[in-house]
Amino acid sequence: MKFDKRIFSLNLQSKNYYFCIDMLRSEIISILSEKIKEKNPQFVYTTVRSLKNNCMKYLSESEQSIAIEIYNFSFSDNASEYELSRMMDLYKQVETLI
Amino acid sequence: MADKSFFELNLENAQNRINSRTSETFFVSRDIPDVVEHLRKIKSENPDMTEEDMKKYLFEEIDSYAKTVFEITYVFSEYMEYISNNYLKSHSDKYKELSEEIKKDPNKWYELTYEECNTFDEYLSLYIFSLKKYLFDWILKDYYEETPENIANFDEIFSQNMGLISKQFFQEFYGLPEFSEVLTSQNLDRQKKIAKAKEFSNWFKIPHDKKAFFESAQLFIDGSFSFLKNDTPNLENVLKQDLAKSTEAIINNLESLGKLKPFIISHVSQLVSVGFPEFALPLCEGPHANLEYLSNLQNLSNKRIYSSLEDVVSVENLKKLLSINVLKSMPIENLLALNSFWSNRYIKVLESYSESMFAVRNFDLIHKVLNDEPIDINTDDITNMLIKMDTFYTPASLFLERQQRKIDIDSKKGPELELPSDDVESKIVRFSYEPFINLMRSRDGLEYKRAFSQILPNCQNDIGEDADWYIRLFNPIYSSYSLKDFSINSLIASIENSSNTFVNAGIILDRTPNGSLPSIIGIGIDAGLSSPIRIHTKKEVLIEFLKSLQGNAIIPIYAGADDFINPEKGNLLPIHIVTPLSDKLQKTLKKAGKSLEQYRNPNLVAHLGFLNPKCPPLHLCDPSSIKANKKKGTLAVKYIDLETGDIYIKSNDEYAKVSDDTYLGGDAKNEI
Repeated sequence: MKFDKRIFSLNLQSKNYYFCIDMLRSEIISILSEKIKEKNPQFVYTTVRSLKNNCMKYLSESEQSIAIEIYNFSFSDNASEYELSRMMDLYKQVETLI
Repeated sequence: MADKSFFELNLENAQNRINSRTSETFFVSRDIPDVVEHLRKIKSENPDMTEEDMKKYLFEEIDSYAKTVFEITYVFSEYMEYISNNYLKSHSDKYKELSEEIKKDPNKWYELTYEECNTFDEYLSLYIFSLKKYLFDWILKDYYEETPENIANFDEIFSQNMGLISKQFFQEFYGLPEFSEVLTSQNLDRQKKIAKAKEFSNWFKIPHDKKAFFESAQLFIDGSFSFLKNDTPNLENVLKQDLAKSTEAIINNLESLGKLKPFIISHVSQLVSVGFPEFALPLCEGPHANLEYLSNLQNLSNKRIYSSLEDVVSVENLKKLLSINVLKSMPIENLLALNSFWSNRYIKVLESYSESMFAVRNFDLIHKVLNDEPIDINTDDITNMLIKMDTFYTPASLFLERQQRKIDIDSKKGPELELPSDDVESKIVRFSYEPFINLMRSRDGLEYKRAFSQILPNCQNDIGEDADWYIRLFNPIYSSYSLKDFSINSLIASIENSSNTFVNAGIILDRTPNGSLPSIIGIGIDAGLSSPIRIHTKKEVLIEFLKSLQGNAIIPIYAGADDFINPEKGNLLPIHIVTPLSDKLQKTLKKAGKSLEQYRNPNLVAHLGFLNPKCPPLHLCDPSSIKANKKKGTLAVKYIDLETGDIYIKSNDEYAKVSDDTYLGGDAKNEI
């Protein structure tokens, strides 16, 4: 599903931070998955752990760092504002990869 | 504008992260006096200690606390083997199907680890391949080269060479080469071969030898599938041993970190507050360890209750409830749930510990303690120290992840452990931190020094030394993310595959004001322990797990989360400690269950006593199932699809959608 910036902005203004985080997470995962498929056409996204493992195997250091951070966010506690801010940074980084 | 350097990006990220954690500075400043006291104690026990000696002492201490985390992480693959074994024993068709599948790409299974598996079928396939590899090494390695293809085709190679192999095997292990004629006879069907195998086994007088012969015979008659049941006790023993030892190590470490007593006090205090003080008695010792004393505390303030319990609670009693022999006698799933609780508890303590220990390095506390210099650290400096520490987070994560990959690859090449080992050292792979330290020094050294000489002018700000401390402290914390991943995965797999073990398990249903599910979801499990286990995770992560395991995002709803709501504050009562149920605790629950009306929170008491799936508390029963005598009913089990939010019940193994506005309550964010 294409990232809808309008929906993102509306929810950001309404302070639905977790919704925005989930949108960014999905989009970042989608972009990294496409990058992995360029090297491994059989790759199908299932879990964030598999994404991280495949990024470590096939992608560059900057892409690996992004995948590791997405993985760590999945299993750690962070304030929603920080996580959102960081997700936006990571999204900007992956956008340059497209 | 020039691109920012790695250091600048990490510093900016660290500032944002630490500024968002408003309580962290407070907790570190609260813990520093305990750390200083700890250093003073080390000094008093070692009066001639130099700074280098004390640093070495602390590094060994950090290492010993870290080892416990690594000990837990390999339990995951053992547990997935155990689940796979249990599942396949009763699904022979699946065994056959996947045995054919693994032949299509044997190299994949030869290289894969359980941590890399994505679906339940992959776990099962990897287990089947590992089983065939084990059998190949035992029986065929003298005849055929060990290749992934030969392993995947174990059963075919085995049956095609039955005569030669069986003669050699039964000669070597049992002195009965003539049994080979039974196995290769065209005149005997399977039943007759089994009967003959029983006859031959009677030649052995010792029951163990008799059993071993018969099991070997079955393997030759029925192939690798028959070996599944032989593998079960091995898997159970290793898993129980490791779970029990891991839990014991965690408890010992929490004790040496001085955390057990405060946990017990909080637990007993809570039981007093909710009006169930007798359930706390086994954790009390001394002249005040009686119901009257505890009951009299009920109307006091929390602070007064807390101080009144200082000399009443007993760490030794808690340790007895969690002794290794008690742990080893528990069912595996209950032990897994217990271990998950204590692992989670331990990691949180270790996170605080790591920050306090970094403060030791950053504020030169070793030097100050050894020289009896005053120690005065303001909160701004602590915040800046935390920022400094956090600048290592991203590069350290990448370094550790790469080390883990190298270890995974190398472990596939090397010889497998033939015997389980009690020594955690034999299960840990050590690697040098020097590459990380050198990278930090060469890449960020100047910027680091420049930046922090302004922010923390009284600190050494030597990136090499700081990186050395950081990576040692962060390594177990980094592993804990995987630990939580595996822990949730294992518990979800248990819930989905072991419905008879947990009397009640599933998500704690809590809807946002607009009716949707929150982003953070609680999982509740009643595992026959002194308290429910609760773990929280992100909804998206849970959906991914469920879909990879079973193809959909449907999960049971935990019944009775409301029973544990704090009547005063309206949030879920936090869980401070969890233990197995001793005989005394079970008796207390049984007695309480007979007169619930006397309790302030009868539903809570009844829920704690929910140990038998056939006897759920009445308030959790489906009203239509409650018998005329109003003493028994069946648990109202509902399910939810996490993707759609639809509620279901199960009828004849099929999900039937229901419209349900039931708010089952609970604050999913208030985790253990």
